[in-house]
Amino acid sequence: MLLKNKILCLSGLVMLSAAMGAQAKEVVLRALMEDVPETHIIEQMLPQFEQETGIKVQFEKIGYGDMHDKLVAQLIAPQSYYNLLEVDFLWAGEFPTANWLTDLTPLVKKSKFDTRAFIPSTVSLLNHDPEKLYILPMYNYSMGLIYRTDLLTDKTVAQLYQDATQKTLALPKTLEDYVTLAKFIKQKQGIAGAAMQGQRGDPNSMEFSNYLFAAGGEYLDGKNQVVLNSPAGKQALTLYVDAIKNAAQDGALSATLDDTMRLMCSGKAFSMITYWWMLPQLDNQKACPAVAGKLALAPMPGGHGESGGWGWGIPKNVSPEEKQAAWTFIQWVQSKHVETERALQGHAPVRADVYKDPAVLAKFPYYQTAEQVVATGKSFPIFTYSAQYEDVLGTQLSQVAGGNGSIDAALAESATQLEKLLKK
Amino acid sequence: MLTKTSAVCLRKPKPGVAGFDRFRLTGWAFASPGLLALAVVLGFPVIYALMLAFSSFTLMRPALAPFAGIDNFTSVLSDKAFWSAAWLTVKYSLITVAGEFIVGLGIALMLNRVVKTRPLYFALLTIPMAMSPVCVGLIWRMLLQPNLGIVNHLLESWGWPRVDWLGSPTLAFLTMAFIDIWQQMSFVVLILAAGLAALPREPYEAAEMDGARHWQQFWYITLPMLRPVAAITVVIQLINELRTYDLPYVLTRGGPGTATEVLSFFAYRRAFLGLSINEGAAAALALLLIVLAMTVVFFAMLERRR
Amino acid sequence: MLRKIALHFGLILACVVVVLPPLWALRTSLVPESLAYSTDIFPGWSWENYQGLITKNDFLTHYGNSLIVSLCSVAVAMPFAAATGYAFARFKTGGPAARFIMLATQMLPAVALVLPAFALLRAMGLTNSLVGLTLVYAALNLPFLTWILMSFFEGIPVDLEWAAMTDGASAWGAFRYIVLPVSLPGLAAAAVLGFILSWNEFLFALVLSGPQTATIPVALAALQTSNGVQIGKVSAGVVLAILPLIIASHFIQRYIVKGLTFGSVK
Repeated sequence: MLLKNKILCLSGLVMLSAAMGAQAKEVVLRALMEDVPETHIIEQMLPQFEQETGIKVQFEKIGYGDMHDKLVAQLIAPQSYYNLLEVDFLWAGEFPTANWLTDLTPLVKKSKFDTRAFIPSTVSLLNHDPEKLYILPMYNYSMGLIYRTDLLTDKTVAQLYQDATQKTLALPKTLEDYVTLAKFIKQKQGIAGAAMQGQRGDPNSMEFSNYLFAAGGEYLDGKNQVVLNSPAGKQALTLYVDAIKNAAQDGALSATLDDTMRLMCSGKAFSMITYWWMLPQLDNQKACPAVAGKLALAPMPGGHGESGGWGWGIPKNVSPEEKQAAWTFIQWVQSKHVETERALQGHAPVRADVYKDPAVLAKFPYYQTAEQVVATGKSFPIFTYSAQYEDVLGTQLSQVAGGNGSIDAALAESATQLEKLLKK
Repeated sequence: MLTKTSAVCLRKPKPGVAGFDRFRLTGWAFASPGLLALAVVLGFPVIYALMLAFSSFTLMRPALAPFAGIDNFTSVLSDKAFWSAAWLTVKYSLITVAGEFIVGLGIALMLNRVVKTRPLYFALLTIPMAMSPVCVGLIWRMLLQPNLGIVNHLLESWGWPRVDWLGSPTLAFLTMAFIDIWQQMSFVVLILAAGLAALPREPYEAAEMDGARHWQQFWYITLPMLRPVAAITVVIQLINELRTYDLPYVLTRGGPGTATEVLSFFAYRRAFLGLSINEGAAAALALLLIVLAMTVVFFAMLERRR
Repeated sequence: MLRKIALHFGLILACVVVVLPPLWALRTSLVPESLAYSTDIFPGWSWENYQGLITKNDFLTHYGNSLIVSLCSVAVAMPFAAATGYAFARFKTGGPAARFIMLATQMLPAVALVLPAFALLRAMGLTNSLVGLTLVYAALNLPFLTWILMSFFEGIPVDLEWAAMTDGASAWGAFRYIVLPVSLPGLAAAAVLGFILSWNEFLFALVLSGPQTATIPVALAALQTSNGVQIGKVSAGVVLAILPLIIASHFIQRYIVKGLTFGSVK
């Protein structure tokens, strides 16, 4: 599907003409959006926006796999059909480098929009040039730990754990503790200690990133040098392989989010590292009766997890009126008032003040923890070839997890490949 | 005894006509509408794809010029991953085509022998064909889910251990081949059943009268007469299997490690992740040459054994 | 008698292996999504998957699109394929080169062809239309259909046409009135094949069609969301997608099973 989507985008490339009536006196905002609940929440509020500003907004919804290519096709053409962009953090290196986005800084200055309201990690996730602002955060998908509270508070389990490890059973604070606990659960409790997404590509490279950051490792240092091959990196990879071999469910190497989510839902796993907003989906009496009421969220043991997020952008190849209209929309949809309303529907906020809003906290108490998860999140390297690196890293991880090759070799190769791609 | 199928017989000129030229013209009269249509609709895409392979067209720099000569090819062919993917693809195609053909032929032969219940069997056996490869992948992923899937559940209830169908590097390849055979075999059954039904009865009747046994009839009558249809089935399947993409994408994304990374995947990585459309096109062209080579070899082998 | 039993046993075994996965898909389509992976055969009954597909995913529109495009592309391609296949079989038109080049167009991965095909259709104003997709499918399937029909024609004894032509028929007459009827099994099989290739094709459909003209494979692929695979709806879609084929193959049966008129040579 990614492939097909790429084709779509390439078709536009060859095309050279893409515009479809941007000369209308009345500007209509057209955005290509991912077909997920976050989009539906905003869609329901669009009539409000139209009433307030008179600007019509049309959302075209498709699956993630198809989006990138369809967007790029338009961005390369003389004029883009989509004048409002939803940009994934993985593309936040490619789009600015290719010069497809409008710099938002002058717009921000002119309308005095306060960007300090956003949690810093969400902004830096999407913008890597300190002088410019290309993408404003829309929602986040930072990763944390979802775990079974009933097992942690169970006395029998606590006793067994004490006997086996001479430690008290508690929520793990370090990565090492987490892996030890997960292995214990698998051995002694007969369910998977950790539901892991080992499939090569986006699933396992995202999951491994959590392990890396939790162990104190990094992909890049402040100066964009590759520092993956470090003692922390080695520990992260060693623990990752240990977890996937001894704590994860059977068949973890072919598992995706769909598999781990269903496993967790059926009660056959103690924990999973995943997007924090999976919690309400799993802690749901109707969908997952086996685990409803027994789940909680925590930041990744070790303090830092992998962050992801979506943002809003404005393409360069549209008229000034369209750019202005798009900016009006972006300010509106990310204002405190609107974002709070979205949050009450289940949106994953990017503004710190929304996390502290009393109405939101009353409805979703775990949003307090969620804010921590988002604030402490770190990012996968974002540059033109991020998607390719996901595949490269994913292949290395998959191979070493399958017992093929040594940890040192895999780590070294992953670092080398990253250097190569950064230089490209 | 058996009629010749060569065109020589048709060449017998009608009285008073320059037979040869008329013959050729008639042939072209039949063929030109189809060939023309094909040239118009597919010609441009094929040529453009070839041009891309020799260009400097990338997503970051979407322009054909400058002419890149064989740079794309050297880049692609010097990558170890290309050769391991190529070798894996060849192995995969040979296994799946052999499997589909043998199983499909067996079933078609059995089908040919029953009369009253044939429609029912036929309707059931052609179901897998009706599922798109993406759906086949998704449904089988559901069946083979290691912890929640029904297959492992049945194995466990019979006292056997769970199997990691798609997560074990060795098994993933075989599992994928099995699923492919499961689906494609129904197509082979369709074509071969039609081929068998089209065979004339006389040779069999004559052979029965001469006392030939069933396996002899199969070996000396059925197989030779079925040859054209069987050959084309094998070739079509070979071409399809060498280009396979949907099934690995849905089942394993080329993993675990590189256990199921077929050549079309390699082309995808170059073109869409590496953003180098030109190199992806070069890889696609290399794949085409491999497919062409194997097809030609196959036909050559067929000719030799005539 | 023993032979009959063995025969049926073999066929039944084959049918079981073939039919069980789709049957499980049928079962999963009738079960609520959250219980899809339950190991009970029938943990609960719900029409929600079918309802969801039809109301939220506009499945009926896509279904209609697939039917139109597949039927029409076969109807368009078959005459060309039959004529060209006949030329290749009897007249060796273009020699081995022509037939191989024709086949070689099938050997490029679809990926490489889709993008320029889009440009071509865009120039003709046929993107996002069923007509455009039909034409592309007809052209895409033409080489395979030609080769299949060519091999069927090669398998027919040439005496029949010769007899007809000695009686004064033209080449076209012989083709139309002698060869075509006799090769009905091959024509039927090729037609079903062409239908299936169009029915299941994904890449070109994705690129060349829009939200209103998308076909079934595109619609079902969209059920893989970043929140997991909606396997219940996928199963429902699969069940619905299989139906025309079962009907088609039952219909085609008659032509494939029909006794043939080889006796006419005598």
